[in-house]
Amino acid sequence: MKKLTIIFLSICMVFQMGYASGNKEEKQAPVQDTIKMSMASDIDSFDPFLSVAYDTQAVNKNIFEGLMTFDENGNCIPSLSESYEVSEDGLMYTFHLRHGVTFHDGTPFTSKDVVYSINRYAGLDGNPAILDTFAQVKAVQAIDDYTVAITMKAAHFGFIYNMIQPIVKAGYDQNAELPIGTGPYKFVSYTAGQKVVLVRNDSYWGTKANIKNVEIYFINDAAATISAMQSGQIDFGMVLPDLFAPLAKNYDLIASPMNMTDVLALNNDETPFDNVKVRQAIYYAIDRQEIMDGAFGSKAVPIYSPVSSTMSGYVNTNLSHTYPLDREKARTLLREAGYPNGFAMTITVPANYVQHVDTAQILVSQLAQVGIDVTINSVEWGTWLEKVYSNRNYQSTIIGMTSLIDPVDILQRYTTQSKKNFYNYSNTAFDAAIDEALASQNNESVVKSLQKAQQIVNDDAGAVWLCDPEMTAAVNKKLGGYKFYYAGYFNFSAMYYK
Amino acid sequence: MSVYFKNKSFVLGLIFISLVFSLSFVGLFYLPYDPNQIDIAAKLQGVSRSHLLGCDNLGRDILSRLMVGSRISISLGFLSVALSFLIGTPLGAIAGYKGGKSDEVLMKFIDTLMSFPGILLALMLVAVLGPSFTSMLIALTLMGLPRFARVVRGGFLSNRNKTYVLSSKARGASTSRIIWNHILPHISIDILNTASITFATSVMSEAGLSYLGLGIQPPNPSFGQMLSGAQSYILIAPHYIVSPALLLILLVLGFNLIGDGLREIQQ
Amino acid sequence: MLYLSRKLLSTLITIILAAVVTFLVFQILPGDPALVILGPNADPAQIANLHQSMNLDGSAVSRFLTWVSAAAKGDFGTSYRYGTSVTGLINNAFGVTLSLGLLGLLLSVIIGIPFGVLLAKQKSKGKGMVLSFFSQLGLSAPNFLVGILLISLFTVQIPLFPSMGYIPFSSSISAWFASIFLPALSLAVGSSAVIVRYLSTSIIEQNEMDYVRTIRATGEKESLILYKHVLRNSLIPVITIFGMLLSEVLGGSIIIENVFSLPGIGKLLTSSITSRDLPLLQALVLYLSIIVIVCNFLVDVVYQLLDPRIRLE
Repeated sequence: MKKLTIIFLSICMVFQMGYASGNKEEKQAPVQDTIKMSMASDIDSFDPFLSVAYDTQAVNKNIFEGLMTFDENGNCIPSLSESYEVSEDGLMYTFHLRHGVTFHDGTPFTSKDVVYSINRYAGLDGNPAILDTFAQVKAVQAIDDYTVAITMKAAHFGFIYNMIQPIVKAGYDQNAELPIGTGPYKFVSYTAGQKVVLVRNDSYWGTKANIKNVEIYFINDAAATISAMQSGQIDFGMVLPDLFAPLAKNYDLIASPMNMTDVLALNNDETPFDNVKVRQAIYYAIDRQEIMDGAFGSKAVPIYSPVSSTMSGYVNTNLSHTYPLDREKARTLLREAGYPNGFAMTITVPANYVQHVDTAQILVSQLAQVGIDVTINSVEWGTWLEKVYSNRNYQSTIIGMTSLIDPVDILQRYTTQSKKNFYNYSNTAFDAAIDEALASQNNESVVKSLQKAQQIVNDDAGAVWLCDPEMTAAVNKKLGGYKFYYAGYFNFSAMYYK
Repeated sequence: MSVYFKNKSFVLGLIFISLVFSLSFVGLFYLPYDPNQIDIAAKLQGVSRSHLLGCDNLGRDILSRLMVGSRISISLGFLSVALSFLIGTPLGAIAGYKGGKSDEVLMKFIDTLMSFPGILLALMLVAVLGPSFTSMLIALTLMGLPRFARVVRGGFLSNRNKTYVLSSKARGASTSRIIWNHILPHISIDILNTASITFATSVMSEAGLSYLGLGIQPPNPSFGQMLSGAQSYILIAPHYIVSPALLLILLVLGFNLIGDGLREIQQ
Repeated sequence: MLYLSRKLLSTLITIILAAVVTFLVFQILPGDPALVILGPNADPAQIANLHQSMNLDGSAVSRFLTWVSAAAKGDFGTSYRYGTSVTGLINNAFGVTLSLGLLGLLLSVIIGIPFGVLLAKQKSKGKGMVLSFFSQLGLSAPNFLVGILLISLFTVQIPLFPSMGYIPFSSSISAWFASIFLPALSLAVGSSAVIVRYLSTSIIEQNEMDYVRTIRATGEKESLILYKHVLRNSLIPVITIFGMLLSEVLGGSIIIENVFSLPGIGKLLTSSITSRDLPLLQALVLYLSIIVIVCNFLVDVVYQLLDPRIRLE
């Protein structure tokens, strides 16, 4: 019987030698016509009308394009529309579409595709609206094959950012199975839970991609991702900064803030957080640097308002000196608020986000130093969404909110009426400042209003804004051109082999 | 008494188990550090004179955390295994000995239980009872129960028609006497094996469940918590995972060795 | 014939029971599937739309009955999370899990049985500490530790295998084998240790029984005693535990699939629970109960083959 074991194992060896000999090259250098990327989570849907996941959209942006797009600095720049004008009163946008663009199946791109897509987003074609952000659209009209006019119900400064949304081929509803867009890469195949394969679009209207093939593999386990890179099966992907060391020989670690704001939310409706002094006390008791070092491997940028410092035009930089670490001040404020001996509180964290759980654990020890006794309540994700986010049934919690390029979006979540205001923050002056920003016609006044709003919510310590964690990517040294963007976008066409 | 101590397996097993038990026992009175004391500067530090087993990813002393965590894991593990045994064994015994209708009905219950993914069970318990030692205990007991039931049933099925049982029956022995004094001793080794393996499995299940937020709440340490926390760092800070894994291995080994020794002594 | 139809009826009852309990559990569970799938950063309109497509109107009872009548025809609906047919998802995942499971268990039998016999032999001579130690190591070492170690060794240090992904049997046999060999080996490390443990202790137990002494006294050769008499009886608990291993493995090895990025049933199951994907979960529980029932049935059959004295009636 032992002989059987030996025979069987020998057969195994023979089998995989056939495999190995064909793949000896793999470890030496990346195959030059393919990018192999790893992604931690699976695609949710290729259909732009159905997809919400950050990572999916980051991939989809290679297949689909919108009238506008954004560059690495967060500026809105032309894509499928070469130029546009806005009427004086801000109620009409006219887009001049690019000529000579075709979809991946050869169909020419014209205004009817734009009308179809925007009608779907805004719910103007009888179907329910797909995005509430299109709610102010009154009508869309094709003036001719290459001109589209969008009429608004009310002026909204940030509306142009919505034009980043993908334009879909008119009447085509199979995008979930076979996505057809206008972008620099075409869809080849998708195996659920395993990989996505893309190929270069050789009839692309813009600068053609350098590398022909893209393969994206879903690897959930952090250590397995590192191993896959070590063995040369993956050329680049997001990794935890703490784990990068074994890759240092053949990979570079590139980091950039991702316009996500990690926040300790204090339920403004719950005692003791309905008292502004208590919220401010907590602010003074927190050591952001320790949190960034401990939970994010020092790869994070501190933030002092809901707006990340990456939104350089809009963030209120005067706020960075507010609430420095000052335990004495914290204790004084607590005394003034009627808690001379501190108090007990609970932080509810979603267990699947390790960085939030770690942040909570660090906060336990930090807040203990001012007499606040913290208990951690780690819950499953679905439970967090229902309890904390929907029902606002929590005392405090830690979560990361992703922002869009539209600067008003993340601040709007703090307005009294917002459905997303699980912070329960309410201040009429803040609401007024946001309304001002929405009604503004020029960038200058928007910036002024938004900065005012940030000052107000910071004074109130509406929440404790911790940091903007950096996206850290390990990129094979032979691969160049990887750029970070402030919204989800893996720009494969800009990458090249050195 | 000395017979026990002459047996190699028994002694070795005892040593292993004592090592782990004394670790948690000492932990009741003395801990080198506060197990929840965070020290970011010491993040993932390896074995050193100040930290005998190194530090975890938040700079906490692994030894102190193990001393506290082993208490939680051992009690959780032992209790759930004990409960699974206490409930599963009689079920298996009746099903295996009586056969026929009782076997069908009891096994239907076991089959239904086995069809449920542990995660779903734990999720539901946590939703109803909140995350706690109790909900974990119930979940792990339910997950381990079928093993005992099936193994015991198998043992009884194979033994009930054997000569020694039939002759006991012929001599007028009562059912309970046959079950307790005759058959059960013969399958005791299978039960012991099941117990030790189920113990190891329950720690791993606890690790998997804490990954989802269904287990012991942080920052309280437990073998499972530490194993799942250390998972990502295997390649760069192996000391983090080696310690809890080693303790778990010692426990299981020790338990099995004692079992072996007892049996060797018995004949 | 009667036995078979009774068995079938009994199976149906178990399955329906499992389905009912799953459905009930789901109603109690907190978490809105649409919100879980789309996340808190989603646009409220998208969440509303997803709700629509989930057909959550009607009482729990009527929804359950709708599901049952569709399921009876083989239509298990569309997954909330993936938006594609549930049967399609399970089919694909099943191929992966089946490959992993069968190869893994095959390896564990090939390794486990010979070593189990060997260990029993050594122990009877008072040796066997080393083998015993290693087998118990395999038993108590965490799955993912073994997996990552194997990956480190056989994909990084010695690039023999891929460390992730699955290539179906139909595209290339050698690539298929390479993609599941390491995961199957990880599985086998744990399972073979279990087999070794049960088998060796069982053999030792049997060797001491009266009937063996009697046969030995007749002067029969030791190895013949082993193979003709002892092994048969010792295999009973091994078969029981093997049956459980089989149903566990076919139910998806969550940890190994995670470490090796294999899109199997384990991943599908975890995702269906955390995403509150009821159609997928219901179908998976159905699949699991069928697996459990079939495995346990096979175990009973093998019992009777091994020892005709075991009569299940």
